[in-house]
Amino acid sequence: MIRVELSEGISETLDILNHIDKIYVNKIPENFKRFLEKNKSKTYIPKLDHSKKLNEMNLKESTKDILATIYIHYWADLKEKAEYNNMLAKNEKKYQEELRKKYNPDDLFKNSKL
Amino acid sequence: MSDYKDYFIRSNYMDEQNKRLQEQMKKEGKVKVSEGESKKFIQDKEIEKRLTNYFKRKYDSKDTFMFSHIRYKYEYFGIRTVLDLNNGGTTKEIQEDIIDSATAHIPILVPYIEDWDYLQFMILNNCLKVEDIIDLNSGNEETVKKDLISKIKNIMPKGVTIIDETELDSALKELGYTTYKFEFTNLGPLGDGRITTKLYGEVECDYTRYPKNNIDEKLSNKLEELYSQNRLEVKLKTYGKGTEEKPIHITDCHEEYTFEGKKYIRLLSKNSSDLKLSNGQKIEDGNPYWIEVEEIEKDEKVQEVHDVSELQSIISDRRQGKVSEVLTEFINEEKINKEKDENTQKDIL
Repeated sequence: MIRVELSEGISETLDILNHIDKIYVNKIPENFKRFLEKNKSKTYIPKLDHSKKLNEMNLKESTKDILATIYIHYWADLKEKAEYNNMLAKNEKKYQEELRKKYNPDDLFKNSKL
Repeated sequence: MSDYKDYFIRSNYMDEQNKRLQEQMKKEGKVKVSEGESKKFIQDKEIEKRLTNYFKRKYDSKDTFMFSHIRYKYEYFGIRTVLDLNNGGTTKEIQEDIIDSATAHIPILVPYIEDWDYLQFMILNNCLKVEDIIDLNSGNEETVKKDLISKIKNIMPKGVTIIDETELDSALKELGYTTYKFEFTNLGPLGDGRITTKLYGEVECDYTRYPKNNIDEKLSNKLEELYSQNRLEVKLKTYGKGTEEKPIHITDCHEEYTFEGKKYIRLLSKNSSDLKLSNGQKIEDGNPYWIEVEEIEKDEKVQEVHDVSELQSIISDRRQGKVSEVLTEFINEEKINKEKDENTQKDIL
């Protein structure tokens, strides 16, 4: 069972794909499109304003993740793929470091006034 | 300025977005649609670009360049029309291109014949005003075609060059293309972008004028009087009018006249049994009707297509873990589906 957040992101993604050049949409394999169709939200109807740019549309985080997945697997060429993979890895590392900082038990005790 | 700001959708293949756009335009009575062809276009940007550069160099052209609705096939070459009699008829682009290309400063025009029958129809219906018209039944088709093209060359507005089959053939050969089994279409102008043509995937939308309303009797009489005295500025253009019930109505082509800054067409229908003007008035055969035409703008909101490059701004902050999650969900589901299939197979066995 797909998480609600992801299924809503899928709904937004499908809406965006309807507004993207068919050349790109056709690059997405049918089984992935079926996965999206099958798992889209049954209750959430995206109301995206396609006269705006994607970055102005206040998209869900899960939508961005799905679009990133599509980009890296189906749209990016080899060079772009490598570059984007690096970027994803860097972002992940940064995120994990932030998490460690935030939840490091030593730091937590250091900051607490007992 | 170009007259191409307005609307018409030529629909060889439509995606959902264009269907919606067309539906909207139909509702507003603004659309004329050609649905005669169902072949998908193959775009070959590389050939198109190389040909463009080749002819620009050859004709020392720094101005806007346009291939006019090219769908080049070795077997058919000449003048393109999109008139579709089987589907009620619609428009003929050749004369629009010829005429408008002059105002849009398009120095080079490549004509080609999509369908010989349509060209004959156009000539017989006086859409193409070739002086000293040739006998279409004289000689073989090739000879007639050649003769006709040379006559059409003579009626080109100043600044428009026709590149004929032989010339295009040799250009292609010079560029190293030996096979001509490709089709391509480029409707985008290179230059000032005055022609609003959008092409994405296999869909293209053009913008032109559309007939609006017939005008009051007084003005109609005035125009008819000026017309009979040959005192109106004239442009040969093609119009069609659709309604919601019957999208394509009229196959006639008309001259466009300018009077006091406004554009009019003189409608003299020969097959008008179903034809009504937008005010409900029925057209009677043989009577001239003056109709004002006006520009309409496309609905940018409906028309919007995102460029994939826009993605960068929203996916650059993603992280590996989250992006992998999506793929993991997909892979897991694929596995489950596969297992289900296998179990079903076993059950059957």
